[in-house]
Amino acid sequence: MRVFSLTLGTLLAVVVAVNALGTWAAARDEARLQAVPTALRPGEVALGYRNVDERRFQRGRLVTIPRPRVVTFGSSRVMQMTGALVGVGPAAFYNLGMSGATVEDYVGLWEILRRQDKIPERAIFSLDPWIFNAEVDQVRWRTLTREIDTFLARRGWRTVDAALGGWSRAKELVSYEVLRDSVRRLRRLFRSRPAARTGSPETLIVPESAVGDRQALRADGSLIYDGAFQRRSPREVQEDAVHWAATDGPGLARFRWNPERLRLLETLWKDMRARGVRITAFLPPYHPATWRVIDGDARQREALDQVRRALAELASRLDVSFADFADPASVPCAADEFFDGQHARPSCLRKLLDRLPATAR
Amino acid sequence: MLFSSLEFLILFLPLTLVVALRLRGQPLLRWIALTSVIFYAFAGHWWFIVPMLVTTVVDYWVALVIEQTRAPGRRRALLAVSLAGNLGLLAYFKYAGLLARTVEAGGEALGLPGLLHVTRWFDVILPAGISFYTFQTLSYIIDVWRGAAPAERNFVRFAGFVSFFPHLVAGPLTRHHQLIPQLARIAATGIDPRWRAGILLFCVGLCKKVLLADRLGNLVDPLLAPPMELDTARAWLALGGYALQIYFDFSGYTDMAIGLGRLFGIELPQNFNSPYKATSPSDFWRRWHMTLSAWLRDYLYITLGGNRCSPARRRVNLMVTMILGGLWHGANWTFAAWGTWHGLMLVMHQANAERWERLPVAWQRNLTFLLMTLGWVFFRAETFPQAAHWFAALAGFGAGAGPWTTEATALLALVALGLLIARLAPNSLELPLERLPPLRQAGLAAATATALVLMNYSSKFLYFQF
Repeated sequence: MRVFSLTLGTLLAVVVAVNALGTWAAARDEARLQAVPTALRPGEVALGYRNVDERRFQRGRLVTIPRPRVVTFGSSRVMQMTGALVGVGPAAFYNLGMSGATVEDYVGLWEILRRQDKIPERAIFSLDPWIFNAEVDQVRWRTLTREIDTFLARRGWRTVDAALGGWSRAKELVSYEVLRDSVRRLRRLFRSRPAARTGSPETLIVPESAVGDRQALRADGSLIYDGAFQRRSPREVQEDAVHWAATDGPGLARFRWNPERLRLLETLWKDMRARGVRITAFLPPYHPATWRVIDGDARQREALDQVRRALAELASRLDVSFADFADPASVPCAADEFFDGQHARPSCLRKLLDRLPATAR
Repeated sequence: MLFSSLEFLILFLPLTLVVALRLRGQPLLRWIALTSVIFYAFAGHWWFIVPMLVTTVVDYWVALVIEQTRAPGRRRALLAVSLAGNLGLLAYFKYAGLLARTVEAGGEALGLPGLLHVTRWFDVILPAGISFYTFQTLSYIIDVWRGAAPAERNFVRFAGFVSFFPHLVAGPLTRHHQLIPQLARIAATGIDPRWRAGILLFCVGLCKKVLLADRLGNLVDPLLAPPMELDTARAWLALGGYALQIYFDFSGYTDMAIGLGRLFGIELPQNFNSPYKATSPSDFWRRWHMTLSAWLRDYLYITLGGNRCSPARRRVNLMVTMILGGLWHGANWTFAAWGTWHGLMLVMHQANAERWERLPVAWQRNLTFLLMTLGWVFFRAETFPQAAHWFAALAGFGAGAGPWTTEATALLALVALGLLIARLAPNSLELPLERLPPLRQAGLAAATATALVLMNYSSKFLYFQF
C-alpha cells in the first residue's frame, strides 16, 4: 500500500505542480493581454486571444470603447459577427460574445454597460439551448461575480456564492484539459526568447492585415480563428460535427430544465427594454450533420422544443423579436458554411441576419 | 454526485468517513442514514429523497405489523399494501412515461391526438436508483411475510439498509440479510475499515470506468448517433465496443461500491463474475448482474413455479422472468425485446443442453459471448427501427464501406484490449489486493492518477438510468 500511496501522491503532486505553474504562466500572459483592451484601436487586432479570461478582457474593453449602437450577446458561436455583417460602422458595433457564455455573463456585461452609461440602441442575443440545462456545469461567468451581484442585489435577489467559484478553480488543478494547456504554455515559455517573455502589450497588437494564420480578436470584439482551424477539410469538419453531437456537445441529451436561468433572462430583458433597448434573439444554427443527430434523437428534440417554446413565450411577452435557426435549413446554411459542429462561418451569419424579423433590423 | 467526481472524493467521502469512524451505536447509524440521504439529494433532484423516504417509512411499518399479525387474510392485505405502494411508485415514476408514449403512438395511429394532453401528465423524471431500492425493500417485506426473516425494529438501521449510499443508486442489489446484520455489527463495535482492500478495489473500479468505459463510449457514441450510417465493419466494431463499455461501466461502478462498503467495514455482495467468460446463456446470468439474477430467481421465477412444473410451463416462467427483468432495466419496449432475446437463449439452451455440452469449451465460450453481445443491440438502440438498422448492418446490408479513420483504429485497439481483460484477466474480486506486489501497486497508482485527471470529463454511469 505504501508503494501505491507514494506513486499516486507523487503523480498527482506533479500534475498539480504543472497546472499551478501553467496557471502562473497563464496569469503572466494574461497580465500582458489585459493591458491590451485600452490600447486596441479600430483596424487593429489583439493576438494571443486563446485560453484567456475573456470576461476580464471584456470588462477592460467596455471601459475603453465608445458607446456602441448595436451589441451582440452570446457564446463563441456569435463571435464571428462583425459590424459589417450587422450593417453598421465599426465603431457603432461591439461583439460581447465569449466562450461558454451563459445568462449570468449577459447580466454581468449589461451591468458594466449600464454603469458606463453605454446603453446601446439594439441588442442581438444568440442563445445556446444548453444554457437552460441545469445539468451543464459552466462556471466561467464567475469572473463577473461582482457585476452580477450588483445587478441581483438591486432587485433583492440572492447573490452569487463565491466559495463555489473557488472550488471550481481548485478542481482545475487536477484537470486534463488544464494540464494539456499548461504543458503547451510552459513549453512555449521555455522555448521563447527572453525578450518575448517580457514583451509589452504593444507586441500583442498588430494591424488586421498582419494577422496571418494566428487567432486574434478585432477591436469590435469579433474573433478571427487561426488559419489551421479555418482551413479544415469538409470531411474533418463533418466528422468533428458528428462526434461533437454524439458526445452531447450541444448539451441536450441529458437535459434538466433550469428555470432560474430563464427568470434571470426575463429580468435582464425587462431591464433592457425599460431602458429602451430593442432586443432580437435567436437560436443559432448547427452544422447539418450535428442537426441530423439532434433531430434524430427524441430526447434532444424534446429538450430543444422546450427551450424553443419557453423563449418564444418570453419574447412575445416582452416585445422581443425571436427566431429559431437551430435547423440550418431554416437559414439556410450548408455544411461548408461551418467551422465545426456549431460555429457558423460569416456567410451563414450574414444570411441569418438577413432573415431576422424586419422589425428587428 | 458521482463516485467519480472530485466533490465526492475530496469532500463527501472523507468527511463522512472521518465522522463515522468516531461514532458508535445509534449515532453512527443516524450519521450513515443522514449522509446517504444527502448523497442521494445530490444524485439528481432533491425531491428524489421523497419517494425513497415514503418507501422506507411504509415498509418499516408494514413489516412490523405483518410480524405481529396472525390472521392470514390480514397478513396478505398488508403485503398487498406494501406491494401496491412500492410497485405503484415504481410504475408511476418509471413506466408511466412508457405508457404515455405508447398511448400517444396508439392515439395518433387511431387519429385521436386528444389523448396526448392527458398522457403528458405521466411523463415524469425517473428518480435515480428507484428500481434498486424498491426491489430491496420488496424482498425484505416478502421475506417477513413468508416468515423467513424477522422484522427490523430499529428504524434508523432499516433506513440505513435502504439508503446506504455505496449501493443506493446502482446496486449491488443488497438483500436485508446481507446488510442489516452488518449494520448492527458496526453499530455495536464501531467501524473496522478494510483500507487496503477497499481503496484498491475502488481504484480498480475507477480505472475501469474512466479509462475503459468512458473512452469506449466516446468512440462508440458517434458511430451510433442518428442517422446511424454504419457499414458492416463499423457495425461490429460498435457492437463490440458497446458490449465492453457497458461491462466496464457497470462492473466498475460495482467495484467502487464494494470498495466503499469495505471502508465502512461492510462487505457488499459480488455482482459480476467475469460474465464474458461464461460458457452458456445460463452461466452468463449466473455471472452478470448476479444480485438482480438472484432476486428475479427467488422472488419471480420461483414464485411463478420455477422448475417444479412441466417443461412447457417452465419455459413460460423463464420467458416471463426475463421479459420483466428486461423491463426492469428501462421503460422502453426495446428492453422488453432484450429480455425476450435472453429468455429465448435460455430456453433454447435448456432444450439443447446435451448437444451444447458436447461442443468444445472454447466454442461454448465464444458462442455465448457472440449471442450475449448481439442482445446488446436491443439494449442500446432507442427504437426498433434503429435496432433493425444495426442488425442489417451487422448482416452486411448497411451503408457502403466508409474510409478507415483514426477513431476506428483507436476503437479497434480499445476493443482488443477490453476483450483481453474481460476474457483473460482475473475478476476484480479475485485480485490479491491485500498483498499486491509493489510493481502492480505502482501500475495501479499510475492508472488511478490518469483516471483522476481525466475524471472531470467522464460521463454518468449507464446504470443510473435504471
